[in-house]
Amino acid sequence: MTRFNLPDLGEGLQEAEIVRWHVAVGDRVEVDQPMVAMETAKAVVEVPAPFAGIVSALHGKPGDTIATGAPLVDFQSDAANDAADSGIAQGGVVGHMPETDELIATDAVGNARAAGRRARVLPAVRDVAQKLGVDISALRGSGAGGVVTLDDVLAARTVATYAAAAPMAVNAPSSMRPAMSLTETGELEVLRSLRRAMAQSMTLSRDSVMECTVFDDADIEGWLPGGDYTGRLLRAISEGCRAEPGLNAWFDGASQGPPAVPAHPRGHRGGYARWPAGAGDPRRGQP
Amino acid sequence: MPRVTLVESVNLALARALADDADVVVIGEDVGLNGGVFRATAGLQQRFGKLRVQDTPLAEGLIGGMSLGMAAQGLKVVAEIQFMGFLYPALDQIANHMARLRHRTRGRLTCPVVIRMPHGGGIHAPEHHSESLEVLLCHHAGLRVVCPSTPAAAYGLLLAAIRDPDPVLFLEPTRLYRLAKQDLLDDGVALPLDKAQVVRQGDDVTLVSWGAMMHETKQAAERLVQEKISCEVIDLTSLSPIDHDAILESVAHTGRLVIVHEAARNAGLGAEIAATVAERGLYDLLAPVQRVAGYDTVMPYFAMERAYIPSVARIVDVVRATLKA
Repeated sequence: MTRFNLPDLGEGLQEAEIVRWHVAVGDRVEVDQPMVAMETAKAVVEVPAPFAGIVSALHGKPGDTIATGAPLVDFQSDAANDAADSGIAQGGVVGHMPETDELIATDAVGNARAAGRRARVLPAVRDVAQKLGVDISALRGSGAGGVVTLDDVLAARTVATYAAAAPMAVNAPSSMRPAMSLTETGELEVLRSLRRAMAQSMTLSRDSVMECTVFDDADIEGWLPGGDYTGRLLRAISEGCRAEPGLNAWFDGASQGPPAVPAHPRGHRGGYARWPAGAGDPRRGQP
Repeated sequence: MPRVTLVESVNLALARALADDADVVVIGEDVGLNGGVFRATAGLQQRFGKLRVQDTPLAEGLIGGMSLGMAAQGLKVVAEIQFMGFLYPALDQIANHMARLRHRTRGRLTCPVVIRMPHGGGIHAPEHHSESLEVLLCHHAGLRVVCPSTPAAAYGLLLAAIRDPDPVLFLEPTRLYRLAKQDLLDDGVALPLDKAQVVRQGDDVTLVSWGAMMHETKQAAERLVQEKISCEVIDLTSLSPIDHDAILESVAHTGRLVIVHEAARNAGLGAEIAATVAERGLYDLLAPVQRVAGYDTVMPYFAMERAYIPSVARIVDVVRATLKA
């Protein structure tokens, strides 16, 4: 049998009056289930079951006054060690103060740690670097305090692509590069970000792609004014490529031949657009 | 070296302060004859007399005003508010006067008051007994807010708070009052008031918490070891001012931050920490900063308490998600 004494229901209250019982002898109660409404000098308070068990005795009937600390309910408790005291030994506090055998170590944890810092970079730039396959830990950040900027990542991407695709061009001896002096050219503008990437991409494309231009005349007198000329033009080019597959051939720079491989099974067309900040694929939008 | 609970360490620090300094006075509801509803002031009135350890009427506004007046006249007051939810009537005295006394008198007067109070829920108490209202205090310039999570920290910080010339709000985690013990040397040595503590070193994610939630936070870090997730755990300890440098240094190492607090999420202290990391540590982040907090609702009564207070499982889930981000 476990006895539950009336706890102090309001920090320093001496007694409480039973208003009504919610449980009867023989009832099974669960933890926190309201057992009885008690009226104190402050308020009517629902007293919950401190543990699960079967009610074996009720000490009082509605209207009776019970002193704080006096027996209130007896239980056949499920587990004897659930029978925590009702708070009296812990002070006059309402509620139950948890206690364990835990012993807190007194050893302090040092704040010092080995040097070595991860690259500092905006999350969005880190994301771009990841998508482009650029290892930012290898970059020296050009931003304030060594922060790796978007420009750093884009530049690294271009150089990496360039180096992989055309090692000869990168490693070409300086005698093969065009010599120029400021007296001939005037003040040189240093290219940044997208324009620098664009210049490097164009150099790469010149080195790896065989350029070929076909001019021809077509009579478009029959096209109605205001129509979608671009779409019609693309359809016409598609028809032309179908008629002459060589127009849709490509040159494999890596294998150095044959000069014209068999026609590509699908038609491919590129677009080009210019904006103030640079030029590029119109599908990607303005930089 | 005595082995003490947190509430016993508070008692030791109060006794030490009363013995060391004749200007120290302890006041509050039931702190004298009764010894405090949590036994924090047990035996002090018997030992130091009714002038040094005074019972007050049940009136928090009076406790605030009385503390202010005594402090302005040179006493060092340690007042107790029985539960943090009862603090509101005293807020006028604290925010409008105690916090400003130094400013208002251009440094001529300071306000050496410590207001101790149980903080947070988890003891199956009724309404108004489980509040975590630290942000109400942290928002006011001129107040220090301290929240220890171990007996040793409570002892050293309470002594520091009593010796500090300015008002200190001393939040004692109710749930931890008797939960664990620690070996404590009652040597009168104070701890620094404005420092966070790294209580566990790790590499993958930084967990910041304070007060009673340190209990679940440390358990979560322990559980995550099994998943090869290495957590660094910081006990904020000083809620105002916040030791932002300690957090930023840790985040620079781990790249991830999860803040755990029992107070409601909306405008909680976690938001202030997250904002500061966004301002000063964004470049170090590998994942969005996350908060595990109480819900934006009234703190529920005993039966639903466990659903409200962040559990170990909730912390573990958020840490896992942070590592996948």
